[in-house]
Amino acid sequence: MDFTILADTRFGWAFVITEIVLLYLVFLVIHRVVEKRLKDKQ
Amino acid sequence: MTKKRETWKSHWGMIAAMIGTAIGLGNIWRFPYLCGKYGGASFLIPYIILLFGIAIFAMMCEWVLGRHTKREPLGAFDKIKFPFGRDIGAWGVIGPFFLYSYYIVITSWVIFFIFASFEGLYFGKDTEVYFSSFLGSKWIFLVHFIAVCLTSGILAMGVQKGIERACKVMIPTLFVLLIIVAIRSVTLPGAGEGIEFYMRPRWGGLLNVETWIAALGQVFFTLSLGMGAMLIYGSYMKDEWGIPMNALSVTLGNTSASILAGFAIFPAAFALGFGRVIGSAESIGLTFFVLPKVFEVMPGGHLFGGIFFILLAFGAISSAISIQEPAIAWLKDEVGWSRKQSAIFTGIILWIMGLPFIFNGFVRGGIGEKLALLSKMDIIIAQLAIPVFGIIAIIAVGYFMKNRGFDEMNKNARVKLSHTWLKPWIKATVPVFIALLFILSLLKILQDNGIIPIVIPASQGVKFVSIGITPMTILAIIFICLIFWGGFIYSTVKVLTIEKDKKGRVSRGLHHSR
Repeated sequence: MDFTILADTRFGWAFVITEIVLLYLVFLVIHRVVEKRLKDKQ
Repeated sequence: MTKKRETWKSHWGMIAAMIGTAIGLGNIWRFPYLCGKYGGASFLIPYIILLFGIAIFAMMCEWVLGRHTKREPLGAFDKIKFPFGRDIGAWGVIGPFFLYSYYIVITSWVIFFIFASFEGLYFGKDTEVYFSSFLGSKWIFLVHFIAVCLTSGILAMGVQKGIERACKVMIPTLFVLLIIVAIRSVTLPGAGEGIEFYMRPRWGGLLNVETWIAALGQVFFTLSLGMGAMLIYGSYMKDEWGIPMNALSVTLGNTSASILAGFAIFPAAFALGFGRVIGSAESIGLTFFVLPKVFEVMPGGHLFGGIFFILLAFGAISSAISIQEPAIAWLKDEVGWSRKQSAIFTGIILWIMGLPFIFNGFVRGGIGEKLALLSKMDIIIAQLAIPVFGIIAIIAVGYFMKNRGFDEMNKNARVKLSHTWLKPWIKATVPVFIALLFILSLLKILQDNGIIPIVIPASQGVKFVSIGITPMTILAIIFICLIFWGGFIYSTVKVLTIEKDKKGRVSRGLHHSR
């Protein structure tokens, strides 16, 4: 497979920033769900 | 019924784990480089000022936040009712994931180089070409998998049986191995010039703004601040352990390792003819291109190269486990998973997150292209996100915990810090200094990427011209050894003796007599 795109500056910045923002948001959503479930249980 | 929260079993185990968090790749490959570049022993003057003036307080704030709340970062910020506490604390759980994702890739290179050194795989080859071809080989997948399994395995065993036990073995071994390599290095014929490069004070560096920026950056990152690791380890601290003396012991232990690393690297490099190369090589270049060349020509290089990479791997693994721990603690505390489940799950996620950095190694081209993704993630996480989270933790203690925070810092401490100066120091001086570092780092990143014009002129460091070992160099070495090594041994013995003394009083029924 050709991974040349990973060394591209613009793609690299876009990839890294998207990964950070996306995972952070996903984690926040997961936390909200976990919290809601815990409250419901109580 | 609430589950009993894990704590460190022994005081020494806690110190070893904290030092293990702090000692990482940056100590071995970055500190000696900065010392040599920015004026030898004179670099230590801004370093000492900023270490004891700024960084140690930032570390104590993270410990306070963890120990007072007895929670992982997300729960800790939520518990003290910090505005948007859950969202900010969430960064303390997920942020370290990004750091770990590339840190473990570098750790896996180190693990591979242990075997490469013992087997002499890079001997007789161009080390840069060798390293470059290794990045695009199938071996990287194997060592990366091993590294993730190692950290997840240690964490799955728990705080006492996993983290504490591993650090109790790895950290003393790291020091012993470092001493062995340093002795070998300083006893090579012609090692004097390397010692001179490393330790002769060159006062010109003190007037250089970049020296102070570099020192501030080093003291902050060397203590693993701003990534949730110190906070979560602080939450496992027992209430009877005073924070200030333990912070002093950990800080001195961390710097002792950095200084020893310089003695292991520079004398050997200069003695074996790589002085000029090593003086200009930074981080990855120093560790994976230059040092292998040094080991190749060093008598017994197979053995000493292997030992060097083992100690480097110990430092890297002990740091990596502390970066993975906040997420495990969150899964355990908030979601209710077992530690084993949490360790396996985070291990899988982190292994997947590391893959893009590995695939990047298969790109055709130079090292710059192969590490393009890794360096971008490092800029965002290490240079931007970490200082921001660090400042927030300090503000949380200074402005939101108020007296509770300052009281927690002095709780059961033999050496108490006066509130009169501690409050303004933590509320104003420490965050301002770290904010300054953040702004300067940001400006440097923007100018390096051509987004803004040059505002911080690039420094060439302080030029080194050998004049032979002078009494000044010898005095500098004695001074540094006394401050850091002497201080580390003294403070560690002191905190452990206090602990023993307290236990003795309790067993004799004298604990109320004080």
